Amino acid sequence: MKTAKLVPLRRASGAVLAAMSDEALLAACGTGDLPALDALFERFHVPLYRFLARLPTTDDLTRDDLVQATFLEVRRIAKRFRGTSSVKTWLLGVAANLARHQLRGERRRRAHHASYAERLSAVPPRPDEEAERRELLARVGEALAALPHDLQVAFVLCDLEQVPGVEVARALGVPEGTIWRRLHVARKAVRAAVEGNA
Amino acid sequence: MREPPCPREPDVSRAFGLDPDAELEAHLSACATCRATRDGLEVAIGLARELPIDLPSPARSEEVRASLLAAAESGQAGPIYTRTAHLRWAAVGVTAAAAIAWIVHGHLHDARPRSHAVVYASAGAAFVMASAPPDETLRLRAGTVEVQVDPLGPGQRFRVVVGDGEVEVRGTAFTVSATDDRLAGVSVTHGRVEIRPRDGTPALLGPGQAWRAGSSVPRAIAPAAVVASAPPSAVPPSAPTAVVPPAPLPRRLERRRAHSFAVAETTAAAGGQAGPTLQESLYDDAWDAMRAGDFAKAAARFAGVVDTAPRGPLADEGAFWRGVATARAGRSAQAIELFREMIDQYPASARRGEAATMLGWLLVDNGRADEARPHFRAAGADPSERVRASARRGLEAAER
Repeated sequence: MKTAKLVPLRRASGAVLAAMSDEALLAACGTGDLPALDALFERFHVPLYRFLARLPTTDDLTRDDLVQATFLEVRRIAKRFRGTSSVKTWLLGVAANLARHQLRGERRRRAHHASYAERLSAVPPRPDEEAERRELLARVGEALAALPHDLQVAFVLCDLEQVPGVEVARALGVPEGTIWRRLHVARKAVRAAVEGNA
Repeated sequence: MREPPCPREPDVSRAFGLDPDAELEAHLSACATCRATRDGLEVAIGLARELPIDLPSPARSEEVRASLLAAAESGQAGPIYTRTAHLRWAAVGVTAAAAIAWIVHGHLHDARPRSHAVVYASAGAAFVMASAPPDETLRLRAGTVEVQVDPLGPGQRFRVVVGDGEVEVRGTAFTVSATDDRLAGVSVTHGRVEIRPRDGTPALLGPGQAWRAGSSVPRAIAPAAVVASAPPSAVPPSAPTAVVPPAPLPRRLERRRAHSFAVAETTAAAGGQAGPTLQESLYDDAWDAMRAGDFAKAAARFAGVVDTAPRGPLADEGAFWRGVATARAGRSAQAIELFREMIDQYPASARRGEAATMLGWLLVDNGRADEARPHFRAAGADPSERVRASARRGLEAAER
């Protein structure tokens, strides 16, 4: 897809922005158009927050920073978008890469992991029928939190956000086989946690 | 005939969630082991989808949006949101530092247009920096923003737009409040502010004056001038606003309609004074000299701003800009002392971090890197990322 021809008016109005395709909006954003960036935020910040919130290694403030950093980065590299995935998936890929850098420090990652596990296990078990399910959820959360970042991203994007694997691979810039491998390892770990084999 | 072997577990995994594969489905229906594998994955993924997700509130999203746009508009490379999240008055659009640095040294030089405004948002304020210079627009939906706008050049504008009107300034400090996307109030610290309610009569506020929507407060002693300008959309960006001499507000403004505005004095207006104070006049003169490139004269005028009222509302500004003007006049040794004095005299000033950065750079340029470092470190806590970035670069320069 050629995005260069989709560059709209430099200062599009609200109505024009609302009618623009995701690709055109991204292209406008790449020209430095602030209203386009605003519209892009409006369109994608919820999916972005949801994706980041599913990564157990981010907290509220980190997510805010990552959301902001993602849109700034998207604005900077908008011209690199080739249309091989949807804008949303591409944007999530940008966020995933930023999150990896943000959480690179192992100590930091462990701290996040510990706090997440603590949050999940802090829920006291209740002597009712939901207790087992809550425990299962806690185990799933812990298993997900214990995964390396790339595996978390593959699992969250493919299985939780239900983005096609081939699109995820393009957005992350890795071979499709790599995504499937990561996804399999992640699924196996989560399943093992559910079945009490972790 | 032997049955086909079970697919490898990765293949079962890969098939999950994709379009049904007839061959695999047939195998799964016949093979309990593989079916258990698939069912186990399905349960695990289903549970993972149930994990709690913390999504931000709409208000928080708006704050992040505003912060993002301010960062994008000022050309920042990184987020500034969380660093300001716990401040009651959080600087979210600080870009004046760039202009200052450009004036002094060009250390923060960047070809992109810089904002002329410093925006302080109250907690919960929802606003967006909707457009960049030369026609800057701050879109305010709710809450209060305090804006300090440096004097603008020809063709430059700065407006605060609310659902039912807009406020335009030319080099001033003022506060705007909105409730439910309606203009709730405007107060002016110094300079001039023009208010254009969509359904009301435009008016011009001077220093110490304030608007309040639907207020029962009596009209100001010296009322704001009525502005005879065309509606905002009809005013070209570079067109000067036509203002008639000060006159009493029309009577209809005193009626308390939902969209009406009343003018009242703010508490900052000493003795009900509506015109510019001596300090404000000197400040304006100083900026005239600054714009004209007469930095020695500007420094002298800014000195007057401080001396006239050392504890006045413009004193710290005057002290800061005096240092800037002095540096621009080529008297760096004196500028160093002036910045030191400013930091000592006005420790609570919003300009403190910028002054520390300026001081640091001046010291570095004078070969006094050891003295510069503490000032750069002090500026490292400034709410403005621009100032902090300059301080970081200053520290690096001081290390070399």
